[in-house]
Amino acid sequence: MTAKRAKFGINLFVALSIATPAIAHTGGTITAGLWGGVTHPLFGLDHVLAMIAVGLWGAFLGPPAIWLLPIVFPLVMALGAVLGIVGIPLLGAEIGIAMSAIVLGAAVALAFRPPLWMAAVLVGMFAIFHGHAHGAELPPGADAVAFSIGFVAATGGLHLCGIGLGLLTRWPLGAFTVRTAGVAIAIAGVVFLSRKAWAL
Amino acid sequence: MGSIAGAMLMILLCGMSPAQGHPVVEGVIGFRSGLLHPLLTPAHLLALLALGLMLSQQTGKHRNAVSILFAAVLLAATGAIAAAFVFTEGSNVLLASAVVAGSLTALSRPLPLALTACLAAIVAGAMQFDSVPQEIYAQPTLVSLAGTAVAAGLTVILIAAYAGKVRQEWGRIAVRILGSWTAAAALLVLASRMSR
Repeated sequence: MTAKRAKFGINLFVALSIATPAIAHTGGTITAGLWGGVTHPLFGLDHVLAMIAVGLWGAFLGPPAIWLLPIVFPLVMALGAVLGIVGIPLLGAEIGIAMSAIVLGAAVALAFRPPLWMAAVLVGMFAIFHGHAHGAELPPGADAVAFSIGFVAATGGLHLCGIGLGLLTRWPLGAFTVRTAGVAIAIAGVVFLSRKAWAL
Repeated sequence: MGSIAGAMLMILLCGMSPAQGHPVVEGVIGFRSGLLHPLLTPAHLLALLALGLMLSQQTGKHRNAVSILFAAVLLAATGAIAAAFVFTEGSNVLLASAVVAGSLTALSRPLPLALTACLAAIVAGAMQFDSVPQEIYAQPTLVSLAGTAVAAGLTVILIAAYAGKVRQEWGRIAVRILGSWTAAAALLVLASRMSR
């Protein structure tokens, strides 16, 4: 097994040494689209906190939920984005996003362990709200593919960050830290909600 | 198999030269242009990735049969294009195929051969139809499409071979996650295009 890995490593090293940088005309556009997609979810604090909360909660729920979340969430979120892209309005989407931080943060803080189906429905519902909000901002044109890949990867990456942090729950001090993070996320959610209510 | 696949990957990468513009790469024509086309066109790459990942979860016999079919359809599609048949919706068909194959990967279930074979045939055909150069001349077009067929075939076979070797639980989960993300990204692009 080690020998095979070594062979693959040598092959890959030689190939990468010989391959020269791509200077494609479309390369700049693709790079810009990919970078735009990666950074897009990272600049919305409400989105970032909710995604991390999903990962943290998954850690409390344990297997298989912890691994099902990053598989199911992007697909459901994409369905929500489709609604936003085609212009189907979703009542209270912004409120729903703020509520996602409150509810998911509280679930982490309380170490709430509902049945898997209930957790999936709750997280799926919030995924629709987040997807809808982002869907309308997808850029049209050729680099939409690169943007979408970056966007989905960044969202999934936030989940994986949450799951990684959530694995601290294996230790008593870690569990306390994660639950405290849940409290902070829920408080941030209240702030988001009050701002949105103030704006109405 | 591992070293053979590694050698194939090396040959493929060695055959590449710097990409310099449009259509896919400015200044690069013919076979090399065709080779680069599926690797530098995100919609093509998404479909190849999803198809390869999906095949990696099937049995070796199943995987080989579909890989042979995929290569056969690539050749058949090249023949169809030689007959000046032009299909204008290839890119969208590829994205829809990526949605289906990525979602099936996320489900991680054994699939009927007819289904995976059908998907492979659709991806292979649509990819060739979507790779026709803007100005069609018989010889350069066929040479370029031959390059596309080689790159697409090797990409699917290599992804299926390497991902199929994953035995650890975390590795299988990673394959499912990648399939799900591929499907989600393709779905977003499809919706974006349809809404225009």
